[in-house]
Order: sequence, then C-alpha cells, then structure tokens
Amino acid sequence: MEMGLVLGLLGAGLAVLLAGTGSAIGVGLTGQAASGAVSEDPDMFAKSLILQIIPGTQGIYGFLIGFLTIQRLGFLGGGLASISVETGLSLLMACLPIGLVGLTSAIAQGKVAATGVSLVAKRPEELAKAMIFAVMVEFYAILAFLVSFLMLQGVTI
Amino acid sequence: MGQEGKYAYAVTRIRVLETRLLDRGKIDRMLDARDAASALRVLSETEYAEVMGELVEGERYEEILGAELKRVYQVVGSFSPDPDLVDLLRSRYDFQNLKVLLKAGHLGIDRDDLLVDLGCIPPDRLKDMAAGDFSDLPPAYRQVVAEAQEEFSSTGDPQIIDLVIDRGMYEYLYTNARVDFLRGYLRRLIDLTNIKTAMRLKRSRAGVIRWAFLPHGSVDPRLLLEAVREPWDAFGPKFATTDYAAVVEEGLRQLEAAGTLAGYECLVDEYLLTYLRQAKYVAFGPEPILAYLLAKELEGRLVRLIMVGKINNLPKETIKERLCDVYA
Repeated sequence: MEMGLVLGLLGAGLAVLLAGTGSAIGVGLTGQAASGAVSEDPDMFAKSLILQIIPGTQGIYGFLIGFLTIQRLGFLGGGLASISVETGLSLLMACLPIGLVGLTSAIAQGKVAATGVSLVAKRPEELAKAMIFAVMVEFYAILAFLVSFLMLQGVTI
Repeated sequence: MGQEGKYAYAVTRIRVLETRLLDRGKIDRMLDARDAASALRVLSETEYAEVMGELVEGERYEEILGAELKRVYQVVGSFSPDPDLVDLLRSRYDFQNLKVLLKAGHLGIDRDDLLVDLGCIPPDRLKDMAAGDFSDLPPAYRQVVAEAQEEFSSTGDPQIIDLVIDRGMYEYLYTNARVDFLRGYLRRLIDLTNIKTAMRLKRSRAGVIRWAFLPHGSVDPRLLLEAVREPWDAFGPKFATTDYAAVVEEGLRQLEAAGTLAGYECLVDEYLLTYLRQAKYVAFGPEPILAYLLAKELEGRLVRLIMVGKINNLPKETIKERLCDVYA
C-alpha cells in the first residue's frame, strides 16, 4: 500500500478514535451522575437521559469525518485512489481538528452535563438551563467539525 | 477523570437527598402544630415516614430521630466514595458512648438508655469492651480512654471524663479529617466551642483547668484565658479581629438579655450552616456528602427542640427563638 494511503487512514482513525474516546468519557461520566439521581428518584430517568446524550455528539462528528476520509481514499468501492504522501498528510491534517477538539470538548461537556444532572436533581424544572450550559461547549466541537469538513473537501485527490 | 469519576454518582445522589431535607415550610408547620402528636404528623409526611412506622406518640421522638440518623448514615455510607470520612463522623457517637460508659462505670450505675446506636462500634460491643477493661478498643480510642481514666483517678471528678474525652475526640477527628472542608468545619466548631467554654467559665467563676479548651482551634488559647480573666466589657473586643466577631458580639448581647447561652448556640449553628452551604457550589468532591450528613444532624436538633417545646406546651415564639435556619 502507498504511504499516502496509510497517512490518510491514520487521519480517519484518529478522528474516530479521539472524538469517540472523548464522547465515551463524557457520556460515561454523565451516566454515573444519572444513576445517582435515578437511584433516589426514578422519575429522573428521562431528564438525565437527555443530558447524557449531549456529550455523545463529538463521537458522531469524528465518525462522519472518518467515514468521509475513508470514502475519499476509495475503500468503499470503486478501487483504491492513488495518493501521494503530501495528499495523505493533508487528509491527516484535515482529520485532526475534530479528533483533538472532539476529545477535549466531549470530556468538558461531560462534566457540565453531569453537574447538570445534579442541577435537575435539585430543581427538576430547570432542565432547559442545564441543557443550555452543556450545549455551550458543543459550539467548539461544531467549529472543529466544520473546519475538518472544509479541509477535507479542499484536498484534491 | 479522577475526581469527577469518583464523585459523579455520589454527589448527584446527595443532591436528590438534599431536596428531602425539611424545609422552612415544614418546620413552620411543626411549630404551628397544636400538640406534639400533630407535630409528628407533619414529620410523617416527610422522609422520616420510613423509620416512623408505629412510632406515633410525641414522646418517642428521640427514637425516631435516632432511627432516621442511623438510616441516613447507612445509606450514605453505602455509596460514599470516602467511607472513612463517614465513619469519622460516626466515631463522634463512639466517643459519646464511651463517656456514658466510663461515667456510669465509675458511679456504679446502669445508664444504657443514654447509649446511641450511631457509632462505628455497636453499643453492645462497647459495653462488652467496657466490662473487659477496654483492651479490645481500637488503639486511638483506647489511648483517650486511658487518659480519661488516669485523670479521673487522680481527681475523682466525673466531669473530667467529659473534658478529656472531648479533647481526645477533637484531636482524633482533626488528625483524621484529611479533607480541607472538614478540617475547616472542625476548626470553626472548635473555636466557637472554646469561646462558649470561656463564656461559661466566666459566668460560673470556676477556676480554669487545662483541659477546658479544645486543641486545633485558630483562636489562641491565651486570648481565651485573657477573656476569662478580664471583665465582661473586654470579652467581646478580644475576638474583634477574628472571624467570629459578629457571632460573639450578638451572643454576648443575647446572654445579657436572656441569661442563657441558648442564643449563642443558635448563632453558632447559623454560622456553621453558612460554612456548610459552600458545599452547594462543589460539583465533584466529598464536600456535599459531608455537608449533607452534618445538615441532617442539625435538622435532627431542630426537630428535637420543637418536640421538646411541644411536649412542654411552650408557646410557639419561645421555641422559634431557639431555632436556627435550615440547610436547604
């Protein structure tokens, strides 16, 4: 296999791996907090679940960028593309924003969402505010996703 | 992940439990109750219902409070990431039981009714240990007991047992409280207790003994001694530069007006409550767990004051004067 292809694959892998890890940690942390709330008050389930989903989006963004990269490399049918080392490196670079920002923002968002569960446990009527706090972190994950997407589109194969 | 992963579950669970603490409305309804039985009926609408069961006579409030605290300690102990800190708070009841056993032993009477089943060591087991010269006690406890016995045998004064055990207890609590929040709480409690002791000593004009003041406070013991020796006018200003200036000033005013320390004690509870409320801003950490347990104990004291007042048919205003605020 050509070196360019390997570099492209590395990028796709990192996008999925880093953003996915971040989301797993974030969703896991919120899940723990949610269990604490539900163990005392089963009615908390639905509200906690909404908050638990929020740190999961980074993993989806990482997956999308990884998927698009694999597609451009030609792994999904139509034969492998012929890719130079420069192009491979460009693809790798394009994958990094969502990979790294996905990792850090999902962990940060998990902490906010977990405290959000505490907030809702104390004041069940304030779910909207707890969600807004968590969604503020989402903004940066979306920016990173957009840049990764645009960079990916900009690389000509 | 460390701190967050460790506390996410426990703190959220505590937040739900906090919503079940008695709020001002419930306290006021208990105050408004016609008699002790109706006050207990208000209590039976809260989480106390779980332990109340058949206990509906107003006079048996003490059993209800004991059972409720025991339940809370068991529940929180089961999910707290720091079971040692929960045990540390429970150890206070061990020391309390040891005091009862030592004094009853020396006076040759049986006061098992005063033993509380809230400590780390069941009261029955403590009793067996007392019969066997306390040699089975954990070393930290044994040292305190030995000191108390020694002091008692040289003075013959049963009160010295209380003083020595209290001292030993705070020493034990402070050295084992590895969390800054708990140390801060203990330091404030120690300081305010020492100031109360100074007020009491000054009122009774008794000689100051070296056991009187507790260790690990931030107020210099020399300052406390000076406050006891100098006239009342100089008492308040002695503490003007400490954090407790307002509490002492208001406490002295109430002492002068009412002639009892009840007002000061109420102010102390309020002060400590304000400190505990800081835990509300801690998202991941042991603070909310400790604050909840201490708030629950304070709540028990409020209920006790109300019940005692209702049983003795005190007017609502008299009871209310002695009640401090609630945590929630």
